[in-house]
Amino acid sequence: MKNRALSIKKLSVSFKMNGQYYKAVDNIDLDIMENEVFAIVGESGCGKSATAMSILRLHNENYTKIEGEINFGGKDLVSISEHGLNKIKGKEIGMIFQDPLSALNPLHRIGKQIEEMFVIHTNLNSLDRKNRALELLEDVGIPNPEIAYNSFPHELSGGMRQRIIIAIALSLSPSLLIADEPTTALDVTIQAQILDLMRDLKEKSKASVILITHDLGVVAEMADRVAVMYAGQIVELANVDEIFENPKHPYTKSLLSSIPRKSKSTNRLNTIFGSVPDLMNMPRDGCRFSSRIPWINEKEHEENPKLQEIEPNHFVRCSCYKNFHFQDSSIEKVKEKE
Amino acid sequence: MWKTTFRRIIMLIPQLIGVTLLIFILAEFMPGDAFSGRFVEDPTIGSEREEELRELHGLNDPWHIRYTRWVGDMLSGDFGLSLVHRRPVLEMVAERIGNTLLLSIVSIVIIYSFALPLGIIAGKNWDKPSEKIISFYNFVQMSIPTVVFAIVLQWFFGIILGILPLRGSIDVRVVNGTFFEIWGSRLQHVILPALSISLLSGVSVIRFLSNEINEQRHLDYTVTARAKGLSMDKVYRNHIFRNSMLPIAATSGSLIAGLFSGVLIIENIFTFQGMGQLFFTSVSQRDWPIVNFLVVFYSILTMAGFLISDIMLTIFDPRIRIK
Ligand SMILES: Nc1ncnc2c1ncn2[C@@H]1O[C@H](COP(=O)(O)OP(=O)(O)OP(=O)(O)O)[C@@H](O)[C@H]1O
Ligand code: SF4
Ligand SMILES: [Mg+2]
Repeated sequence: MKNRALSIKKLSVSFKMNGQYYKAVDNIDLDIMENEVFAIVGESGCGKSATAMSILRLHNENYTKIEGEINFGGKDLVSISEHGLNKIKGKEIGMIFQDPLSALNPLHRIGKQIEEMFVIHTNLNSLDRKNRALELLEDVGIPNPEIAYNSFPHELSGGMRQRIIIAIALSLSPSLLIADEPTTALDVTIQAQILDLMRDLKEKSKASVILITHDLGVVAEMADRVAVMYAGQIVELANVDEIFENPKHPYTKSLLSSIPRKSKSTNRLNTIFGSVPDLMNMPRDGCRFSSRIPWINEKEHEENPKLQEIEPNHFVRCSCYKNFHFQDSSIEKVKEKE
Repeated sequence: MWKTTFRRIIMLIPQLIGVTLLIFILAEFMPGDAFSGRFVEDPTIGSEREEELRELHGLNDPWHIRYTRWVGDMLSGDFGLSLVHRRPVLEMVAERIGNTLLLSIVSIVIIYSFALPLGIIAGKNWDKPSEKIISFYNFVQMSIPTVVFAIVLQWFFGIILGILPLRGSIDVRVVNGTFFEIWGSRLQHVILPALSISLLSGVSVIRFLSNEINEQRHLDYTVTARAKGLSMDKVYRNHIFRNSMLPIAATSGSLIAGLFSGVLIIENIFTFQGMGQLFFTSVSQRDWPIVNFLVVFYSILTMAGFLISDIMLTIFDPRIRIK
C-alpha cells in the first residue's frame, strides 16, 4: 500500500455573496497517493478549481471560508499559519495554472520570475540562481534558454509560456503538483506537447499530481485515478480503467458518452440537459443531480444519496444508478458494439 | 525606443501648426486690437494717426501674411514686443517664469508625496475603514471648487493662524537680502498656492492608484506570486505596486498639463507674480503678442507633458516597447 501524499477530509469551501456564504465545495474526502496522477473531472462550475485553490488557500480570504482538513506532510493546511503555509507553497506543492499569459507578471522578465522561487525559498546566490533557471528552461524544452531568460511573457508563444509556468512549478522539486486545466488554453497540437512534457517530468520527479480537467482524453492518457465532481460533491471515484469501462453514476456515464466516439452505431450524443446550477440556486437538500434527468421517475431517486464503495476502490454516490437509463436507448447500442 | 520617441516628436509639428493657427484665428475674432480705445484720452493722437500706427505695425495686412510673419518671427527667436509695455515679450516672460516653475514643481512634489501613499493605503485596504475615510476625503475635496478652497486656505493660514503670507511671491523687504532670506520668503509664499493646486489634483492620483491596485490584486499573476510562497506584503511590494504605477505614469502628462491651467487661476487669486498672472493681465489689456506667446508656450508644455508620459510608458511597460 502506498503512502498518502495529501489527505483531504470533509473539505468545504464557501464563497461569500450578498453577505452570505455558499458552499462551492461540499464536504469532500480525497486521498492522493504518492507518485500517482489523480484527476478531478466535471463540468464548468462544479468546484474543481475551488478545491485546488483551497489546498494552498489561494482564494481571497475576505470572501472565502474553508472548513475541514487538508493533511500534507503531517500538517493541516487549513489551520496552519500563513507563515507556515508560505514555506510549503511553491517549495513542496507546485501549482500550474490554466492561462499561461495572465499567470505571469507582464512586467517581469522570465528569468526573474523563475528565480523568484529561489529568492523566496533558498539561499542561492545570483549566479547559481541564474544557472538553475537556465537549466530549468532547458528541462522544460525551451529551445533558446538564454533568450527566453531575458524575454518578457508577451514575447513568447502560449506553449512556451506554459512551459515557463511548469518550470516555475517544478523549480524546487515539489512532492505534489497541482495542475488546474494546464492545457485548456492551448492549441490542440501544443496540448499534446505539454502533456508529454508533464508526463516525462512527472516520471523523473516522482511527484504526485492533481490534474484538473474537463477533457476526458487527457484523463485517459495521464491519470491513475479519477474523481468525478458534480455541484461541489464527488459523485464517483475509481481507477481510471474502471471509470472508463464500468462507469456507474448517471453523471459519469453522460460525461463519458458525450465524448464523440468513433463507433458508427450511434450518431446521437447522450447528453444530459442543462448545466451545473450556480451556487445561490443550488439545491442543498436531497440529490443535486435529479433535476437534470427528468425522465427518471420520482420514486427511483434516493432522498439523500451517499457516496458508497460498491466494489473495492470504486465509490459511487447513490444506489439508484442500478435503474438509470438514458432517455433514448443509444447507450445500449454503444455497449453492444463494444 | 528612440525611433518611437523620434516619431512622436515629429508628430508634434502638425499639432503645433494647428495650435498656432487656432490661437491666431481666435485672436482675430476678439473685438478690437492693441490700439483700439488706447488713445481716446490722448488729444495728440487722432484716429488718423491711430490708423497710421496700425499700418506701421502691419495690423492691416491680410491674415495669412500676419500669421506667417508671426510664426516666422517666433522661429527665429523674435517673440515681439509687448504692445502695452513696449518691452520684449521674452524679457517679460523670463521675469516670471521662475516663479511659475517654482509653483509647479512644489505642487507636483506635494501631489505625489501625499497622493501616492494615500492611494496605496486605500488600494491595499479596499472596502475597509481606511479606504472609506480616504474616499470620503476625495469626495469632499472634489466638491470644493479650487477658488473656494484657495480662499479658505488664505483665511485659515494667513488670517486665523497668521503664519503664511496671503499674497505675492516674495516679501519686498527681502528682495535685496541674502540667498537664504530670498529663498525663505519665496518658499513661504509658494506654500498656499501650491497647496490649493495640489490637494485637488492629488485626488485623481489617489483614486486612480487605489482602483488600479485593487484591480491588479485580483489578476492571475498575483495568484501565481502567492502560490510561489510570497507573503501578501511582498506580493504587493514586488508585483502589484509597480504594475499599478503604470497608469500613474501614463496619466502624469495630463496631470501636469491640467496643473498648468490650475496655476493660471491660482496665481491670480494669490497675485503671485507668475506667468498666469501675466496672462490674465495681458488678456484684459489685449496685449496679443504676450497672450499668443503664452498660449503657444503652454501648448508646447502640454504636448511635452504627454510626450514624457508616453516615453515613461515605453520605459516601464515592455509590452509597448518597439524593437
Ligand atoms: N471567488 C468566487 N466568488 C464567488 N463564487 C465563486 C468564486 N470562485 C468560484 N465561484 C463559484 O463556485 C463554483 C465553482 O467554481 P470553480 O471555479 O471551482 O469551478 P470549476 O469546476 O473550476 O469550473 P471551470 O471548469 O469553469 O474552471 C461556481 O459556481 C463558481 O461560480
Ligand atoms: S438520486 Fe441517485 S439516481 Fe437520482 S439523480 Fe440523484 S444520484 Fe441520480
Ligand atoms: Mg476552474
